[in-house]
Amino acid sequence: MSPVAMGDRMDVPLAPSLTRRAFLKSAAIAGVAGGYLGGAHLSLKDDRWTPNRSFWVSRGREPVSAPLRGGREADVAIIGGGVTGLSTAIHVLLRSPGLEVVLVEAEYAGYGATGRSGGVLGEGTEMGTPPGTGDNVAHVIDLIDRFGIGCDLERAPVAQLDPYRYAAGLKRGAEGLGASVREGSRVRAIEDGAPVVVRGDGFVLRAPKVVVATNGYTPKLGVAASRIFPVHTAAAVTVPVPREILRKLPDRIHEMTSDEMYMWGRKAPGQRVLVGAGARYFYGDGLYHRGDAFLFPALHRFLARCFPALASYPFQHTWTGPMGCTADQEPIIGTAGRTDNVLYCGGYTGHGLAMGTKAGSILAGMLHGEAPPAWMLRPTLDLPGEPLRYIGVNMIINLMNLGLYSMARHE
Amino acid sequence: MSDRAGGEARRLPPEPRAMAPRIAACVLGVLSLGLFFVPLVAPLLQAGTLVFVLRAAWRGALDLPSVLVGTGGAAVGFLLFLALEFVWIV
Repeated sequence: MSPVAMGDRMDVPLAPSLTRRAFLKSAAIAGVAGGYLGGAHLSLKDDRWTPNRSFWVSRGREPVSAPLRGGREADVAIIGGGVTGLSTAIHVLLRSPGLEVVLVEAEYAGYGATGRSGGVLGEGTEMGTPPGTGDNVAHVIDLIDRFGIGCDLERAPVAQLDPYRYAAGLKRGAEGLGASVREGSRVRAIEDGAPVVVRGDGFVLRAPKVVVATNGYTPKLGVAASRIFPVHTAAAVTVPVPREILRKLPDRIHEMTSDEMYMWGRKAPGQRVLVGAGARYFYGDGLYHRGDAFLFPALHRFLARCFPALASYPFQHTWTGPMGCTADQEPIIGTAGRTDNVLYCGGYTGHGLAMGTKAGSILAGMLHGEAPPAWMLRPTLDLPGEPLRYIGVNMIINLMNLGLYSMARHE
Repeated sequence: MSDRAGGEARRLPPEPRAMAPRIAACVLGVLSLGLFFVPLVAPLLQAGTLVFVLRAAWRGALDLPSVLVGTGGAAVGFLLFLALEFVWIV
């Protein structure tokens, strides 16, 4: 029998002790497994974009203009065919007819956050109603009436529309004023200087002033990369729902999922219900959502919990996409480049449909020497690089989902 | 049992275990649980905690409470992390 007393049995090796090699091996396996699980939304050096599979696009595609090829010069170059870019083109030409305005869009008008939104028009921003944003909805409706845009606009009780067709209508409006809107023209680099050189797939565009209106896609162009970041969110549309059930639903859905986060929604064309929720930042300002088998079941569970009558009506269309956010969830405007000849605006945090349209008129004013609202020029937190950005942004989102953190509203 | 000299058998006094591994296991367990909402960091910390606790326990450097705090914190923290990533997303 061992001379060692029973009380010390923990000190007796029960098996050959772990070698350094075995320990390192197990630590490496644990690290890889932890890294995979921790980085479920991690996709390094992924240049892909999540396709637009929104309900709005599924209802039929609008005609697409020819891509830009070769060299081109313009008075104003606009990058991005969402509401901000198209509204900028319109307002520049309303102020200065005859200017050479060229707008380049990587995919098609309304491809980004514009065409994936719920189509609900709201005043102000995510965090309140800063000065000059109380008439955002009227501004949108004025443009729709002015250019005769067919986009299923409902003015009351809730102002809402088909955002993809709204973007397509703005495109036609801009073209009618003389803008050259080129779709399928993806920008790869912006070279500072006078003029600014915009290099893309098969084209070089030179202009003394460039407007970057790409919202969540902006950091990938190297503009406002520490101020604007893409956050992916999700939306879904149910199968047709009987009218008697629809009548009992609120016209605008706003159900808190925590003290800070919420599920938004509306009634959609075809007797459907459209809802959206969720937020997730992907590593490296990632723009591609690989899909998430848990996301939409969770969204439907929450929908059914809020509105039990909808429990037996599954989602027919589901989609995701990035929206531009800032650290304080308010849009920003600014200039970049040595001579401040690159203008940018973005970070609407899900409230860009009306605010982005208004931002277009503000950007057009800046191009004509006017000062933007002071609140849009405010300094914002400079986000760190990766991996701290991934950790920090998603940690804040997680805390918001848990109801443990909320941001002060700017009323 | 008798000793080498053939005298009366006697029980050796237990050697006091070092406190450092026990404190480290408890701290890691608490951190694994408390920081479950920090992406990337949480699963690495939880995996590291498990490796540390199991290895230290294997070598006899831990007592039962510190093993329970370490492994329990890591396991519960990991479950909460998974729930936050995949279930608690809406």
